[in-house]
Amino acid sequence: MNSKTSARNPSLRSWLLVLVCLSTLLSLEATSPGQSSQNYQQPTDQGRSFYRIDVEDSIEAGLIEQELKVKPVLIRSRAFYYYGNEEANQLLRRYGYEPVRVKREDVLTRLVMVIRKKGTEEDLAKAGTTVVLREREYWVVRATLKQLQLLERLGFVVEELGRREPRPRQVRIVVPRLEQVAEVGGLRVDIYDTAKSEKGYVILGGAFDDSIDELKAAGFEVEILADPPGVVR
Amino acid sequence: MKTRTLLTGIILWIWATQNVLAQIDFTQYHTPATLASDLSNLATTHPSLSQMFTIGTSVEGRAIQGIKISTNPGVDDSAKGDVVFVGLHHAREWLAAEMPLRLAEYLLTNYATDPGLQGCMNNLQIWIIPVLNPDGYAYTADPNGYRYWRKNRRNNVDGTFGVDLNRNYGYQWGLDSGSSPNTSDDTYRGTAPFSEPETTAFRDFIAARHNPWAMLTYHTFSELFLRPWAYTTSDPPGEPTLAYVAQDSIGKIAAVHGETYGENIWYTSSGEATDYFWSQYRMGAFTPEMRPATGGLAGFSPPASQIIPNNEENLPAALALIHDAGCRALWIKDYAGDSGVEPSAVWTGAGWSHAFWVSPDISTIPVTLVGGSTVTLNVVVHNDAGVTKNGAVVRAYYTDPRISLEFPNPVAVLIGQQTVNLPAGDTTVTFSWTVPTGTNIWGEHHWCVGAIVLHPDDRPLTTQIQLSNNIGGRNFETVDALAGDRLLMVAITNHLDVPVEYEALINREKLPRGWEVVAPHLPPNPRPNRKALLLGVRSRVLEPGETVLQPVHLHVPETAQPGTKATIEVNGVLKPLVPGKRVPVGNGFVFEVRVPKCKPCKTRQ
Repeated sequence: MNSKTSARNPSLRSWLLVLVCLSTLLSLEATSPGQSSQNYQQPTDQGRSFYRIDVEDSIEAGLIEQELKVKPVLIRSRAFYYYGNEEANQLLRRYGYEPVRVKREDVLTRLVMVIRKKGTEEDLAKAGTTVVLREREYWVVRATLKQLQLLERLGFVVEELGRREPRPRQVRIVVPRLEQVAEVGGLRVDIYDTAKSEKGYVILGGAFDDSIDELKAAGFEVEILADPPGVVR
Repeated sequence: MKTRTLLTGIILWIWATQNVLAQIDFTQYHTPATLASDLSNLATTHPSLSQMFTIGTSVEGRAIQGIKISTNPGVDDSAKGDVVFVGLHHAREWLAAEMPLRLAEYLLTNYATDPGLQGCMNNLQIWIIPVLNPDGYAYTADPNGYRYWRKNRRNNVDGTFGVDLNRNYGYQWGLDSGSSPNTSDDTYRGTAPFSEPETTAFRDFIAARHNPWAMLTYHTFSELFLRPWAYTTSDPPGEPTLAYVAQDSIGKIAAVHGETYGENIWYTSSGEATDYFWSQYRMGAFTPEMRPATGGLAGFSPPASQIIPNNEENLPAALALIHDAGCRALWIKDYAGDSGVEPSAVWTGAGWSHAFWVSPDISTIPVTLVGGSTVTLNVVVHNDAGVTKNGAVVRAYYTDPRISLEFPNPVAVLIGQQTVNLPAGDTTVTFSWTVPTGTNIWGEHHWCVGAIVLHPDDRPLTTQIQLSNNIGGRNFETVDALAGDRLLMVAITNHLDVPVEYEALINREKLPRGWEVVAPHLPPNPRPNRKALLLGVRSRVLEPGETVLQPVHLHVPETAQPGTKATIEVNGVLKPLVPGKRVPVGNGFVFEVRVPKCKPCKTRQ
């Protein structure tokens, strides 16, 4: 099919347009390891500036949203991040807050695939990223936008996860003391059940590799169990 | 004759078949579609008793639907109590949707034939929402989805999906000890408290209820019956009441198939639903973690043969909650004119509608209390059940009557506990009480006695006097205040764990002519509280644990006869500085003031 033909046929041209749009969408949604497409989406800031104020707790954050209509993008510890403008900041200053402009690239994170073609986990750690899952052909990495830019400069192939939603590993952890069950939960294990045994308390749960790494570093023995049906690694 | 028999047979067969068809099939798991249609069919089949309602839409735009069961389903009746059953915060916990559906079916099909159930349901609006997380539910049922998905389907716009709805509520949200800040984790708490439309819709739905008295939020699994707090291992205010209900429910569940539910989960969860609703409303809020007891990930998908026994054993616990909320049998009056209607008092903005701290059912012999003396404390318990209630527990406490008063409260002292059989009618339960000497720790001659009656057929679901028939309270003075003193002091302590706005208002209706009582506004806080600023609160704010002394000035006319007595009623209220509906808590003080016989009297040094 040549361009002349398509230009003369409006219906065919429409179809081609649809096909181009569809293929673009699909490439965003379902990239797979090995594809060398560029990569990952930058969340849009729609031209707005990104700020932080400090709040006492989540109740105060809720009151800011309710009374001043400033919606948080993220609350982490005592930091309340929002997209703002001078009007919103003036309003906040009237209540004693001190808005600080921050780079969202330093704050917001993304979860992406880093293809195992080049570099090591050590390099990823040096870049400040967190390996969430170690899959056969790629790592699932959590990184700020700035860190992602650094990875690309270092030559890593970074791609969107698309439909490859990360699934936690199934783990079994035996702890001798009851209070350690809460410690395990605090290290982000999704605890399914806990049963008492001769050796202590047997915890069955789900966890990602970053959590498992922390568990091991804290001295817990983690046994990885088989994945449930439908999980492909 | 044969034809008639045949016809009768056919009619009976059709009737029987229709009945069978009308029943919901619990031998297989529902799909999201069949669950929605079965729920809707229930409402269609029982239009005089039920109506579908929608509390909002999910993050992907699905309706979050429920069925309201009430004798006047089309009316939001402020005279009735509200009891809420919600299922499936977590998508993979399918049994948690089957149970509330079964409860709805049971209530609607048994109402007509069960007078006991009828009696309780007539006083209530029962709201059943089988699926709070419809997007997650759909994803777990989708062959292209994931059966073990837990969260909702929020696109976190960072390459991940989902927020754990039961870590997204606004009380103690954000603790790393009980939730995760990482978007990929199954316990991810969201960007902010109530960031999700599902939790916001549920919060707003409860806030819009007139009398939110009790809630069960169904989960699986582990066979536990959990109560607040979830965010900490420390006990919440009212722990004995919550424990009583939980343990009794466990007994009711075990009585069906012998499954013995536990009470502790051994780890913490922050931003959880029952914590929010207990902290906000003191509504009895519990989490049954249903079958199976163990099982790892597969525990979330037990065989369908488990649905019916799971429903069967959890039904009595749900019915008991409905009974306790809707059927008053054992009760203690909150004030002289109390007929047992709840709430017995509401904050009107100018005071409490009734002074609920003057129960006539709580009295002492002798009437005049002297510090250090041992007196007889009588508690009258009314039994309207018509039959003897064996094994009722009556507990009496005393406490400093500071404003945020509830029974039991963490600083209340147990005077005594008795297990008694309560015949129909009134029974006086007697305790021996050694009246505290001197003043309470705030320098007042005031104490408050609270009494609670508990029975497996009649359990309090809150700790607030005005919200429960099972609780009564009475403030006592150990010394008459002398009008010549011209100054009374009221101590107010903020027992809540959030800052509060405080108000003390005088009920002047009972004052003799010419008398004046003034409670001056306390000076503002030296450092303004930012939450108060945000809410536009200008009056005094008390931080958690803070106590202030509120002076109350008397102006007695010169013409007042020596020996004249007057009653001064101070209404106190604490309004928490929180987003959303600010539910006031409070108490009051009644001072008996006497004009001294000698005027002026010599002041004792």
